[in-house]
Amino acid sequence: MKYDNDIPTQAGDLQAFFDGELEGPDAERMARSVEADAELRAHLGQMTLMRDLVGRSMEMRAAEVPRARFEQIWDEIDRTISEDARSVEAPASFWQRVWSAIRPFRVPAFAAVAAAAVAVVVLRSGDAPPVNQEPEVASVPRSAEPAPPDAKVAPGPASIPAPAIAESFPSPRAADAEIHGIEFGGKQGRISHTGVVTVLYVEEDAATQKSERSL
Amino acid sequence: MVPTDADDHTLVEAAKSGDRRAFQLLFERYERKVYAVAYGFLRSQEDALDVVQDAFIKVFRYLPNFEGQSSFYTWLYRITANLCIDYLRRNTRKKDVEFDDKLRHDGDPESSPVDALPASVLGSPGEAVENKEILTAVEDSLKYLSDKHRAVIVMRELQGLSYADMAKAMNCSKGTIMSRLFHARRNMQKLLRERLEHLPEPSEDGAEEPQTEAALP
Repeated sequence: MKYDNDIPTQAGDLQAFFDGELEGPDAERMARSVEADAELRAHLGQMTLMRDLVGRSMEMRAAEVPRARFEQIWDEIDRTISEDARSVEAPASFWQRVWSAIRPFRVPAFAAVAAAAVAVVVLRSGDAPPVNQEPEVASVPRSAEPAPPDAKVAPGPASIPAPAIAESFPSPRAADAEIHGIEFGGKQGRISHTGVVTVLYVEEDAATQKSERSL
Repeated sequence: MVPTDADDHTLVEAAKSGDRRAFQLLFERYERKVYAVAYGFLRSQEDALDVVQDAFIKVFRYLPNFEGQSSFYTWLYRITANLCIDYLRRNTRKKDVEFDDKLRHDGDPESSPVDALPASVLGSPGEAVENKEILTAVEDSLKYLSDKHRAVIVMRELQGLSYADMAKAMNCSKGTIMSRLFHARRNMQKLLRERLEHLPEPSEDGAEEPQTEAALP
């Protein structure tokens, strides 16, 4: 037998003999040596005793564990086995499997989609017609800014969302404009025939605010 | 339904076909033996119980692949040993002494180990394995071995694994296992002798010396 380190050959062979690792002529030779040599027999006796002691000490320690603790362990094993069985009986749907398969690519894919979406929005906003550029001009007057404590701000227009206004007015052709004026909140506005709406917000203590919005 | 006294092969085949009760019988048959092995490796009750649980879950999952070329308990012990070694690798505990394989027992390897264990304390081998103090000394000695030395002692003395199986489990050569086992046994004898020297010698009739009353005037 070959050893990695400098173990005495006879001691190594005796150990291998004791552990049942010697075969054939080597085993027979060592058996004859043990039979003839009392010291080798004593060595074997020591190794046998050590094995018994180690085994018995561990058994003693194992006997100290209460039965209930092993029952708990079994319950946990049983639960895990049942979960395994359920997962085998009910395989994941196609979409669940696809979702699992792309797990490593989810974050970069979502990042790419988000970047593309932002790019599309930016590009489209650059091509948009002027009508949608500044909707907040007509719907959010300056009265949205902090007003003096005694100022009375005309209610209404500021709370109407701009897109709703834009959608509520038909796109007029220049010659078909029929609306000549707007009146709300006790205030008046005038609409010109060129399609430009002029809304006047009159406040008691402040100068008239004027904004224009192209229809 | 398989009888509770069915042999391992019958229980394994029944468990393979989905008989959960058969697998439970296998668990009950080997739970403490597997625990003893795991405890020998890990020296912690809770860690050892975790390994028992993991070992049987793994056994159940791989049961369809078990072809019976080795006995069930050999296969179970091999799985347990692998789990324990993985556990030790993950949780490398620092030891002050003997962690390094190069640190050896004192003395000449040629010296006779027969002197290592005081026969006057041990008495006959049969008495020794029944003596709780001696068994506690054995356990204490195991605690002071390095993880590697304790692993080979447990795998060989408790599990009866072959050198080849041990080499596979510890990812080293068979020659390394033989050398490691040789030194582990020497270390174990040295540590045990140190502890047994403090034990009282048995009296002539085999009973221990009385400790309390005899000391009183």
